[in-house]
Amino acid sequence: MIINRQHWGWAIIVILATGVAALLYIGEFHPQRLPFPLAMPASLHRDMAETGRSVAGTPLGLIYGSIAAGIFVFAALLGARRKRPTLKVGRLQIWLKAHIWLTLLTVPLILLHSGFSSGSPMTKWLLVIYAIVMVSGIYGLALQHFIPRLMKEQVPLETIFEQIPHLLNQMRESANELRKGLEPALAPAPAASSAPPASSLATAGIAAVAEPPAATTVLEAAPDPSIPVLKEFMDEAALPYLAAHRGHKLLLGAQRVSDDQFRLLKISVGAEWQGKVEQLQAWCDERRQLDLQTKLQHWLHGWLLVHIPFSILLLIFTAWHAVAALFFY
Amino acid sequence: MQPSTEKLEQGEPLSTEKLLEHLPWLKEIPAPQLKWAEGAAVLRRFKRGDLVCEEGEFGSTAFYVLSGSVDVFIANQIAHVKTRRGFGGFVARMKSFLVSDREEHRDENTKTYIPIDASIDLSVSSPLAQLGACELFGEMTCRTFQPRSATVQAREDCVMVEMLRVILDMLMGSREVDAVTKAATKVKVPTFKGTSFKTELDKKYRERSLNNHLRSVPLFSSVDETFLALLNQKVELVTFGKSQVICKQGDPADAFFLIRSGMVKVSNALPGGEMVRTYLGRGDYFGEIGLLFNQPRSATCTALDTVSLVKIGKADFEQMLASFPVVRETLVEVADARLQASQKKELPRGLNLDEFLNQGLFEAQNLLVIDLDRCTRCDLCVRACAEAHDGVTRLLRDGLRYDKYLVATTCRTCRDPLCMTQCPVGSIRRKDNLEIIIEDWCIGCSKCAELCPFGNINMHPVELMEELKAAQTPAGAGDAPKAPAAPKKSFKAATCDLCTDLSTPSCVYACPHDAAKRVDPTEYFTKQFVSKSRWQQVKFEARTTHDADENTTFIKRK
Repeated sequence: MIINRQHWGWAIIVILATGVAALLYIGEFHPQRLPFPLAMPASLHRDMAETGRSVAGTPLGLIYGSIAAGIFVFAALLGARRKRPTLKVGRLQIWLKAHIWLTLLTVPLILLHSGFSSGSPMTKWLLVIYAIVMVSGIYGLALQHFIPRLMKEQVPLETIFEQIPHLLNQMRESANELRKGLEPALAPAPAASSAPPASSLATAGIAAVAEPPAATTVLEAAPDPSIPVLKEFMDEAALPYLAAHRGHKLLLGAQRVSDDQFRLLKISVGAEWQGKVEQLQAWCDERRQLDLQTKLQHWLHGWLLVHIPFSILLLIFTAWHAVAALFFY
Repeated sequence: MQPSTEKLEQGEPLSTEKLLEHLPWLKEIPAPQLKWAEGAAVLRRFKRGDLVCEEGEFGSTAFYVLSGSVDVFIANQIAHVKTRRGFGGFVARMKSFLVSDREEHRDENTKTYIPIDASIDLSVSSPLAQLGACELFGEMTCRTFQPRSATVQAREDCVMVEMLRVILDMLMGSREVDAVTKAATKVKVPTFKGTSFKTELDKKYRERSLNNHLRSVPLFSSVDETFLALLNQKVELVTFGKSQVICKQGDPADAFFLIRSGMVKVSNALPGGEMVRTYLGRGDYFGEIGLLFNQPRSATCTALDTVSLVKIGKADFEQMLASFPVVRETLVEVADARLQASQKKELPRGLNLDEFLNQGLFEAQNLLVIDLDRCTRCDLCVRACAEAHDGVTRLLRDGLRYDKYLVATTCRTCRDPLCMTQCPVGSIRRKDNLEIIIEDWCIGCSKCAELCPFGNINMHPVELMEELKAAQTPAGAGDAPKAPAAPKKSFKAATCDLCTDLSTPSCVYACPHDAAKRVDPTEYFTKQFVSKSRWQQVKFEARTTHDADENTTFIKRK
């Protein structure tokens, strides 16, 4: 989600809530720092010195902690809400805005709840998990600001993510067929007029991608010097690249190198092969774009692999913290 | 000349003599031309209960009933697919149902007759009628290879001549080959002047069907019988060949037309070329704007195939308006809506028009666009669409890009709705707001789905909706023939319904990033880019001025 001026309302709410919470905190625990008296209702007021409790154990501290815990639960519900996107419980957009801004509000709430102290080892762990959740969330939010744009600009051939393996497979198969089509053309022509029978070509499945007619005619006189060049390039660069699990590590994985290689290939092969080379280059370019799309997609959603498990952990620890603090402390 | 190369697989082959015996009008055809009729007709005998043809199946023949009678009916359920929330309050899943017009009346659904490929129409409430001896049906299928518009079943033992187009053309004399086809084919196609069969058919139509046809048009529903009888005598029955212009934009308005059969394309001439406004089929009418407002024709109407029209002259039309103010009111409403719709189609200014037109965005009027700067490719829009439509999405998050927007693959409610051009029963139509809807009497032939250039029409299996089947049985079904009236596997066409049952389309509602929007492309993109481009222009002008100043300074310094 992009943070823009539509978020002003939420930002103001969070700032105001932080201000009010801070004011109450100062009024309760450091009244001398306020230029005006701010007394809590008697029922909520507990003197820490008398009770021997930390800030979190006071009514105000508990209120802050409870609100933060409530926000954690609400934030976790976003996952369930996404499972049923058409539920009439408010637009997902509002849920996501609330998720972002209310969880940001938990930062001051938790700081005030803890009284700026990390407390026991358990609360220390809780704070560490909380920090991981918050940082991963903010990181994910930041990524959402530029990765979609990057994907739009760098991957004009973007497709449905789930279709990528299928497309890669198709391109690989087409390239293999193109490679097979080079073989019969190289075979020595037995007689001047004996072109390979159409049926044998069709059986080999190469009728569509076989050499251009002109090439055969040339071969009848002498082998086409373009074919070994093309075969070598395909065997050593193009086919491994199109078949590789991780293409970016190979030669054609880099745009500039690929452009140079294909430019060289185009110079090395005859005019009748230019179309095939261009087709091959288009496949390699598309492969590169799809690799980039996969990479960006992983970046765009990868942070959730940290965010979600730690959020669950945070909920468990929070529940444990609440039970331990309320019943055993 | 060569005899017909097409084959008829069933029936008794008819020699020329036998053919002339059954269709004596062919005697008017010169003998050399009759050779073309060899093998182009067969004699078919049907026993009571036999199916002659089924709705939705493809064919290329017409039938002429020699003896006996047949039932003509729509076997598919008269209902439309409606997606709505099931039981269970706010946690309920969306579910698709078949809903009849009685249960959910849709606005503007004023048609009470289903136009079919015969001289009669079927009533929506009871889609069953009879055809007897000396009747012709299947003319449009024969001419344009449209799917069969209705199921025909022998009511009693009957005999028919099943014919290919060449014989139909000999009888009706309307075979016309356009210049493109002429240039493209080496085979010399003959033209036939026609026979008195056409005159007889017209006479029969005037006697038997015209009044019903006129009455079936909502416009004439308030006109009294006397006037209708008068009109019946005065109207002219005219036929236009494929691509023939019926009336041209800018010409003086001299008549009002009611479509008897065939499809008419209504278009406007714009500086960028022709802009198709809509397609009209049997039962629709046109030509009222010029007569009502006493102005030249506001659009060009062209026959898409052979079109038969009922032409009402200006004087009769004006007399009707003077006598029946209700007709005038109705017509003015329709004319206003049509004029407004055409005025909306001005080319937007300030856009990258090449791209806009090439992608057909100008043709679209309700587009799902996804802002690619915001979209995190979470696919919640697709999931929401699937959740709203029984797990089958009507949206694909893929398609062409226009600037930073992805134009998702889903119904665009095109201005030139090709999906409407070949519906054999005219069940796909537009509402006044140009939204495309599918009428209850869809026979599930899938022609519209084939024609949609964007693949945005789905065929919805009817078997899934057994629970409502009983409730949808049309009134008067008791008269309907027994099995095999209900097809075993039936479908209904369904397109993006914009989730009209909901306040917001599901895809838009579910997008957490405010990236998916349903918009009028012309309005939206003009708003998005024109203001931006103006701002850029201002910046550019400022920069140019600044650069000019700099250059001046530089030159001075030099």
